[in-house]
Amino acid sequence: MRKFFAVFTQRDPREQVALVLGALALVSLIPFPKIWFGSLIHLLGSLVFALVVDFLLTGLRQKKWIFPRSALVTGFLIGLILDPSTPLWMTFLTAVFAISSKRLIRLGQHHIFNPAAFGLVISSFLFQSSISWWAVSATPVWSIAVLVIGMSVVLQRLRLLWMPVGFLGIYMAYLLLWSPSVLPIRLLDSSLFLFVFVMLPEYRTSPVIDHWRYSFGFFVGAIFMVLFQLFHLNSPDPLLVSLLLADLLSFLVIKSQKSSP
Amino acid sequence: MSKRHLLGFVAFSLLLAGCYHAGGGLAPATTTSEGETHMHFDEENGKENTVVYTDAGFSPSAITVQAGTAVTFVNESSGVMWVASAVHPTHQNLRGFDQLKSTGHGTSYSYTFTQAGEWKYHDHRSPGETGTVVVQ
Repeated sequence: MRKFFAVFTQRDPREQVALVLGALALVSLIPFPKIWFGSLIHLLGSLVFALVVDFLLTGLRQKKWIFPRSALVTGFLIGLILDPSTPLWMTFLTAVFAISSKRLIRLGQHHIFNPAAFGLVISSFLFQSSISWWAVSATPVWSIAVLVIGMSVVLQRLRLLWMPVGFLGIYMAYLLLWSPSVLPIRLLDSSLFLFVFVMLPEYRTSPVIDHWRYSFGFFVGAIFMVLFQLFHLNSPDPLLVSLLLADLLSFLVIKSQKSSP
Repeated sequence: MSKRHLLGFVAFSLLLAGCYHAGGGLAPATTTSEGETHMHFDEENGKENTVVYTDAGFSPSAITVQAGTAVTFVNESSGVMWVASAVHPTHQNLRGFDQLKSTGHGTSYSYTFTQAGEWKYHDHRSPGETGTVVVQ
């Protein structure tokens, strides 16, 4: 057990996240023999599409042919969040949007948007594809267990554990204000845990410098509240839209701070 | 955040999640009217304004009713049902339209629609299964 734990903790963070998402896929698929085949094809399709598109885009642009580990995470996230009944061509295009955003919408060394969130939101906007968070909805307790245990190790290593805590804090305040009677059921939602533990602290696009390491979670939560409460945004998924807006705004703020004398 | 804090955080989160979901497991039947939840066995469902949930999804997938009408969702699937307003997972599109727990085969959930509009809903445990109630 200790050996297994050591193998996990010493891996590249992207591989660690991919392992956590792989475990999440297992606990989602195993209890449902009736749906596992179609869901597995959907998930594998998403993984292969993301890996191939990233491999080709990186190879053609940089003339380096390397295994794209970060595309593993993107592929898993698209496969686990996009509804399994989504046609494969739509899953493919979602992966194309996601990986393209990583390789093409960037400034200098950094891409701006969380790739999976970008692909899912664009796909939902263009094709009305269903962002269902299916993989964590069927087995909520096991999903939360896998996410909290697995991702706490990863986020502790990256010193990003305050990010999900910040978002959950402001989300709890929002629920206290607007829906106090359903606070526990909303707060302990497995879809929310997938969002705050995996998508929110994506260390390439979520800012990790200075106070942002602590405040980015609050920032995304505040944008979510505004979108939801003032603009009644329902579709595309308000959690993902909040993350993309926060990615862009924090990027602009940090850039302007750097460029000012 | 030290390792002790981390362990405490993980243990506390898991304990909360486990307790909460264990407490909100299968219930015999649930009928909700404008946010109030009552536990009872629903024996007589009118044919109209009833949506049946099977392994194939909600049927009919769209239903039109007058404001003030109760719609009953009957679980005839082999699994559980948790009817909730769009959008997953926040369910805030139509506040109160949320079963708030999973119920097994043979159970039902009713909600009285008082606000006109087109209200989308889904099964919270299988969010790809969706339907619409149009309230005139």
